[in-house]
Amino acid sequence: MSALAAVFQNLNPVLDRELRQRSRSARSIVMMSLLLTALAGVLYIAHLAMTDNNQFGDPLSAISTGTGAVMYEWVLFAELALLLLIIPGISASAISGERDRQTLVTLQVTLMGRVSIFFGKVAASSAFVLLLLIASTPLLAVPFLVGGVGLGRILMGFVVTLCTGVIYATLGVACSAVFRRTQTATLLTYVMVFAAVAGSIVVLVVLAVIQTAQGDFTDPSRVSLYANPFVGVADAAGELNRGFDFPGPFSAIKQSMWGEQLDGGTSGVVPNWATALIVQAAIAGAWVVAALRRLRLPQREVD
Amino acid sequence: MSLDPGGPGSDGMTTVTELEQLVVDADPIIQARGLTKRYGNLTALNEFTLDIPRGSIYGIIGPNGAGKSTAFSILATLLKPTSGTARVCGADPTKAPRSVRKHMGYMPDVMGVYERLTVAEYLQFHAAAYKVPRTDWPELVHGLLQLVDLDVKADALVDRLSRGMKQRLSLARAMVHDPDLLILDEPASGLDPRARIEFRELLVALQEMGKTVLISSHILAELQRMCTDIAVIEAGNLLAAGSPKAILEQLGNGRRVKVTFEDRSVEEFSVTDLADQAALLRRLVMNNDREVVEFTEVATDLEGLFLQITQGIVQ
Repeated sequence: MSALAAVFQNLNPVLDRELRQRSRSARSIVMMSLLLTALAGVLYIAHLAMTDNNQFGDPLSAISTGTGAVMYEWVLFAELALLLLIIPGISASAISGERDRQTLVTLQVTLMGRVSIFFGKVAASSAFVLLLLIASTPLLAVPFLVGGVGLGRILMGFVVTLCTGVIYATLGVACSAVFRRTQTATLLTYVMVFAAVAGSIVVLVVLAVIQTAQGDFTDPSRVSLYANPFVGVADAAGELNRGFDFPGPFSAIKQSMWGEQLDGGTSGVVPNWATALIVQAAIAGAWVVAALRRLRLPQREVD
Repeated sequence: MSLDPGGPGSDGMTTVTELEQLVVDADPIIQARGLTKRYGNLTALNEFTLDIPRGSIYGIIGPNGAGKSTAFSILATLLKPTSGTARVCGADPTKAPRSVRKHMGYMPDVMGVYERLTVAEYLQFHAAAYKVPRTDWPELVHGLLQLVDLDVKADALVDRLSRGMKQRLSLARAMVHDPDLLILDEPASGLDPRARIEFRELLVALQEMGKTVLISSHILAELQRMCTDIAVIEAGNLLAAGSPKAILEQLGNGRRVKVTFEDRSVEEFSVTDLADQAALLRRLVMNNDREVVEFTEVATDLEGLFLQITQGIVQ
């Protein structure tokens, strides 16, 4: 038996079943098609914008060093944004959906533990995120061919985006375990995604206002921004001090986060993207604990 | 007595292993002692005490909200009782739920199905969840589907099956790990008469295979036909338990007689026992007002028994 066959034979039963069901679902294909169409559109618009810039803007801007990088950042930015919209939809019904279909009880009375059930669901949602990312790699390869962005940077962006997707998929599955109703779980997951994206910026603004009111005109602490999913990916996919007129979105975020630091904020042992992932994983981890408590049997009340 | 624990006593004497097995067999497969479940002011189950012998088909009957599903949920390791203890297949469902699940198959009152999964895949999934070795799956799935008469539907999608087929599939699912005990919560609800008869025959076949079946149902006639023992429960309280005959005797006032008089009027009387029945007949015959033309004992069925015992209390 090959190693790969052995892996598939010992797959978590929940993951195995979910993969089987998802591969037969038209919804997955439609979702993937829509994502790829949207990303292709973003790639085309970014290309047009950069071409126009080169024609009518600074004619000395080298298309080989600027265009590809900006196109890459916009495609990845759009992909992350779309993933953050898609992931609650695919993950927040993982366990509450089983409750709705009355299949959770029959699963819970098997010899699969709650940890195995929970992480089987997380793995299934994460596998779909991975599939979406892999499906979009040809679009990410276009900027590489245009030039201006290295393979290492593309890979780093891919990996950190995948990790971010897995964290939010975990959050969604945890919400679906904690809340009985799928609608509540989905809504709460979207609220948490919004809180991480917009709330982290609001916290920064509030801190700045408080500091200014106290006569302190230094920059406020940007710790809250590490909870923002775009910040971690920005560190992996963006570039500092590129000197172009039109930096990509991730380079702009990276510049604003760490541009003023001489070392670009990289002097610590842990890279910034890793710190961001750790902060986000810690938030999701708290929900995982609550979810596993909720799945423990016997319960005080039947679901 | 042979102390060889390895094999049967060749000298005709009972070995330690056989003795141990006899003790295990004699033990009730379910022992519930004072199980109580409260939700705030509502007592869903009150001091539920019951022994369920191995190899029996034990029916629990009671109106809606009587506490049947609560009792089943506690025994099936899903629900924690407020007080009381239980042993199911030799283990405490609250403290050692995994040990119970190894030997118990549970079929809830509503069967949920997975979309886009075939009947065979559905059973394979649960076999994997019960840690049945993958090499055993083909034979296991084939055997179970044959048992529940669904072998021709192995490649059909589960959500396309009729309700009766889904119930049979659900029963097959509960048996993928070859449990000693099956806990079936309202398995016949919503089935047409033919499906109910087939399901009943299936349960009797399972009993003959040595399984113990704990079943709840609203369809009392079904229980009467297949159950070796019954328990009647209402408003969380266990009202009676044992064989239907034993319960009638226990209640004392189980006999009813129908008397037809010469004017074709019919009256029913309750009697406690045969002597009481004879006394009633003597009294009626001696009475010159109306001549008795027919005196028959009314066969008390489970339905009649149920109506006698319960009061229609709704919590």
